[in-house]
Amino acid sequence: MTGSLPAAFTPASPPEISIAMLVSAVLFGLGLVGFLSRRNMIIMFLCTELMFQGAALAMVAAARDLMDTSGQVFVIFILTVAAAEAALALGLVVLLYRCRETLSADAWSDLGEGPRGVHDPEPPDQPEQG
Amino acid sequence: MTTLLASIPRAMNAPELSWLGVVILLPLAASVVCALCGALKCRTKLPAFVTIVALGASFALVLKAYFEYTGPVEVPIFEWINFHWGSGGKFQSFVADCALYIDSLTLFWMLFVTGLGTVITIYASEYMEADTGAGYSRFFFGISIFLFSMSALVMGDNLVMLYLGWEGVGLASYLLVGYDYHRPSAVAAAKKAFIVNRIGDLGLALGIFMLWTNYGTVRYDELFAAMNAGGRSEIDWDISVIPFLLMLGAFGKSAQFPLFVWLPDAMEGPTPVSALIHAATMVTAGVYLIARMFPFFELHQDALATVAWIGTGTALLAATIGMMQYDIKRVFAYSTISQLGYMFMGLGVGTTFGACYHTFTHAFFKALLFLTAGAVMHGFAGQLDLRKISGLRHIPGWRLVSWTMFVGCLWLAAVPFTAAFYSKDAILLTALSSDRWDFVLLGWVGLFTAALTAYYTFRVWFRVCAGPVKYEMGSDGGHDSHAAGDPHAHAAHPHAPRWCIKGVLLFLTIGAIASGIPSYRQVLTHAPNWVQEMIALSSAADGAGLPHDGGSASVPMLGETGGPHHATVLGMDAHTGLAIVGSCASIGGILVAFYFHLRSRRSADSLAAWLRSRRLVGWIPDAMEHKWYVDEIYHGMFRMPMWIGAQILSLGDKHFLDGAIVDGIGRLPIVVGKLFRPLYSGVLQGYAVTMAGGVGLILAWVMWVWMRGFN
Amino acid sequence: MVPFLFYAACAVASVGLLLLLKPRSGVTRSGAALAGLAGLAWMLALAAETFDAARGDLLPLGGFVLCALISVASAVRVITHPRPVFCALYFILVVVSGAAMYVLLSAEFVAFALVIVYAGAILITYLFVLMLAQQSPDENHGAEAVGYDRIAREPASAVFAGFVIVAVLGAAIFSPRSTTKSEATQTASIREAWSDLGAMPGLLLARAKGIDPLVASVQGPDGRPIMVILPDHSARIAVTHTDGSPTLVTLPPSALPDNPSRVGMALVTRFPVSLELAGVILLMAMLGAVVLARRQTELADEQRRVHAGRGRASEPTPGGAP
Repeated sequence: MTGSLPAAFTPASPPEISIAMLVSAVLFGLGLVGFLSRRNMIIMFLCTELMFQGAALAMVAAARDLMDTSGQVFVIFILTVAAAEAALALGLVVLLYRCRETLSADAWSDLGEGPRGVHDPEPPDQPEQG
Repeated sequence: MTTLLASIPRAMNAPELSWLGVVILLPLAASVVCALCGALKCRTKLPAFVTIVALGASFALVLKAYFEYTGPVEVPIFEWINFHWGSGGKFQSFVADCALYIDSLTLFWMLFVTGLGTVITIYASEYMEADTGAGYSRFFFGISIFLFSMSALVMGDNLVMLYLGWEGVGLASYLLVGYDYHRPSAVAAAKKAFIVNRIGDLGLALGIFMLWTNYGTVRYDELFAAMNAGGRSEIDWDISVIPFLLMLGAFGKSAQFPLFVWLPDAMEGPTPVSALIHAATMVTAGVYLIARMFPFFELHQDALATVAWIGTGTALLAATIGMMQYDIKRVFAYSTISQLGYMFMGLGVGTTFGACYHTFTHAFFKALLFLTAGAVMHGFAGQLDLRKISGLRHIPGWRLVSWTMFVGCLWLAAVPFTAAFYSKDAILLTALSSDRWDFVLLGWVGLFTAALTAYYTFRVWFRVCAGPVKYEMGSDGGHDSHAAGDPHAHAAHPHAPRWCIKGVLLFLTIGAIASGIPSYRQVLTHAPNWVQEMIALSSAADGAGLPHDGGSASVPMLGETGGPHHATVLGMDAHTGLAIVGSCASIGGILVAFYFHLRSRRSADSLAAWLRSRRLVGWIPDAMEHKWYVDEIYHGMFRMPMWIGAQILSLGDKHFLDGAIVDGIGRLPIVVGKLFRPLYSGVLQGYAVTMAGGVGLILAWVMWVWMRGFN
Repeated sequence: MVPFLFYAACAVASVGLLLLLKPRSGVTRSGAALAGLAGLAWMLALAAETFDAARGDLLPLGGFVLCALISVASAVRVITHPRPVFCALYFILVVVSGAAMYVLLSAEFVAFALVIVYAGAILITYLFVLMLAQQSPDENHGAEAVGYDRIAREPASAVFAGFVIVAVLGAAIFSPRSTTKSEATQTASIREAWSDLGAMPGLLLARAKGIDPLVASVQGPDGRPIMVILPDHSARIAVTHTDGSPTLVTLPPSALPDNPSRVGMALVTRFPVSLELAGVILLMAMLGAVVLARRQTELADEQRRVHAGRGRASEPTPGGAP
């Protein structure tokens, strides 16, 4: 009940916002690098979730800087979409795993004709339980 | 020299004479009929008949016009090229209608063109009879096209019609020289004729352009009126270059140095073609051009001198070459070049009368000579080497040919009292009695050349028509090969000409004799020379040698020693002196030929061998026999560099344009495709990298390009 | 801030990341980690150039930077760890540190929502699926991870793409922009917060009672509170005392509604359609999951192997794909 303004309504200190934006960009970039360099399908989707994280952080930082709650509302929607996407993606991954008995994304290269880049160095293993 | 005569008569407009346009149209119609005959594979002599009828009718119409002639007229036929722009003033219009300009020069020319055309076509109808069918129709098509173009050239009222005719005769010459297109030499000769003519035509075209830029018109009467009206006080370069350009065209068409190399090769065509086109009519187109445009040649004082020098030089050059040729037609071809050189000399020294008169007489006797050579070729299955035929006049059936050839040779050698003697005299007299020292020199050179002419002409006659009878048949080459079923298969003996050929030869002989009538009348009765009068009433009047008001009568007339100064030749009065010297030259030449080629033929060979063994002069006979290596020089100077350039360009085209650019562009999609193919390897992350890259690029563009605008 | 320095820092960090992605000796790995850390620190330092020591916010900033470092380091481990379960665990760490950063950015509701939904639901699902689809290591390799987890695919191009993106984003973030409107934004946001409070009569009444216990009603004649916002960011409302007398109560700025209230208010008043659509999305996801999870045709072992491309093709049977 004091007369001081709550923290949300005081102008944000610029380094905080800058660092937050920077971290958001870095998280997004890391998520992209991970998506492009991992070959395990589930981990690839995990990295896309990392990109969502970056986006959400940017939203929150902007909301803080502009003192507008719309950014935080948007983060809620990000969460919604991430959840929906995770559910469906993981379901699909399970189905794909059941078909080829491996989580490697290289197993699904039927559309290609040319050189296939780095191959799985070891041959696919013995039959696995699903 | 810049004050011009006021007496080029002004042409009156006479549309009622438009029937004269039929003269041009008749050969054109005949050509269409011949083409149809060829298309319908008609096997008779119908094309020849049609052509003869058409040409005869043209000749009759020209005669009618001659008898009804009252003065220069201008006859419009139809509108052809007629542009006006701006306000349509002097330099804002270009008018070249199809119209006729008939003055005495035109009629003079048309008379012998159509007359000789008709006669030679009659000759050709028998000469070419072996080829009835497609070839026959093609031949007469060519002849008709030629006469159509020649008529347009001579009768047109503006330089564009002249140029149309000029090109048309070149085309006809190409078609006819290359008549036997299976022979590569004929094809090459046709190409050579056409191309060398083109070089001259460039000069003519540029001359016409310069005339239009300076005078605003290309019609003769307007040009002459402009010359009449304005004395330009100073002549700028662009006017004074006109005669040089026109003369280049004339040299191309009339086979003067340096563009004469096509005429000997054009002898590959059938003999009537050589007679008509390359002796009597087409090659005179250059003379006609200069005569018609004579006032313009007086614009620059060196123009006429150039014409004279080149004419004389060509005459001497051709005579020396002709002395060492063994092919009868080639000898006559070089003699044509030589005589044309005389005509140009005449034009150059200022006597258009002499030049045109010599054209007239030359047309008759040269056509006669060619046709006799043709008869020989026709009968001896293509044999034309004068070393291989001898004693023709003793062979039955060939007497007429031999004696008509004799008449022709006499005329060519300008033996006294022949028509050619008087015409050549007119030229040499003007040259020798001129004020300029170089014209006098040219006159003496002309006299020397006359001696050479007499020599080589009678060399031919004495070798071929006189002496012991001995002949070798030809190799049936060319179109003269008779069909296998021909009843006079002449494997062993020559096939004497029949009455078509003989009749024409007789007619031409009479014509050659008759062409001297104006001079005979002038000498005997002092009546004015008909030819001189014809020339004097035309645009070439300045050289006609007749005194006229306002002009300078610098040319003494034949038979008179009038004139402001007395010229002398070897101390005697010019006229008699020249007559004596000229006679000596021609008779001397005949005697030399008699000795070497009839009396003791072996001495000719021994003389030749002796000359060749002398180091100092030994190269001369070889050079003369090889035509002074002019063809080889042209080959080295022009054709080889062009061929090398063409090879280089062809390589450049093959490797650079085709290889690098076209093929390179063709390979570019392949290379680009190969470059981008790994992106489509089917692996998920590959596509993701592409997408990320695209997003990155777009972001970068947004950042650095688009957002800049907002700061 | 000079973009070029930023790009250089990005490049250093990228090189470090690249070396981390290619598993070599431990020395290289630690060196790479050091390089990456250095690059990151440089970037953060560049970002913190605008720090004004006089303001005295060192402690919150320090905490913020610590959370940022933890977050980024965990993200790096997510993408480089060879074993998938550890990747998921590190991701949970990313989420938690992210939540901490949200709290420091005064977004408390979202922080907890993140932890509950993301770490608590989504990541647990990932872990479940990972364990479901785990291939047990065979005799040849022992306890090591499978090949396709150990070896990264074309890390160079991946890192390059990442570098480009981060560089561009960084240049965008740090391009000069005007910051002259903080006063106006502050006023606008406070005004909006007060109007949010005005739309919550119960809370408003509680706040007013906290100031003045005799307040009975805060509603005006048309049912809405009458509120005037003063220049010092407090609000004066017209209330009615228990005895019916109208007075004015001044609410200090600390009476402003807190973050969850505001977020809820915003969701319901300003983004109702989006809220409904989010619900629809979740419904669709649920339906999709049900469809995907339908019972598959049971394949015999042999047929399944054939279908996976590993056995003899005795009879080509169309598989059990739905």
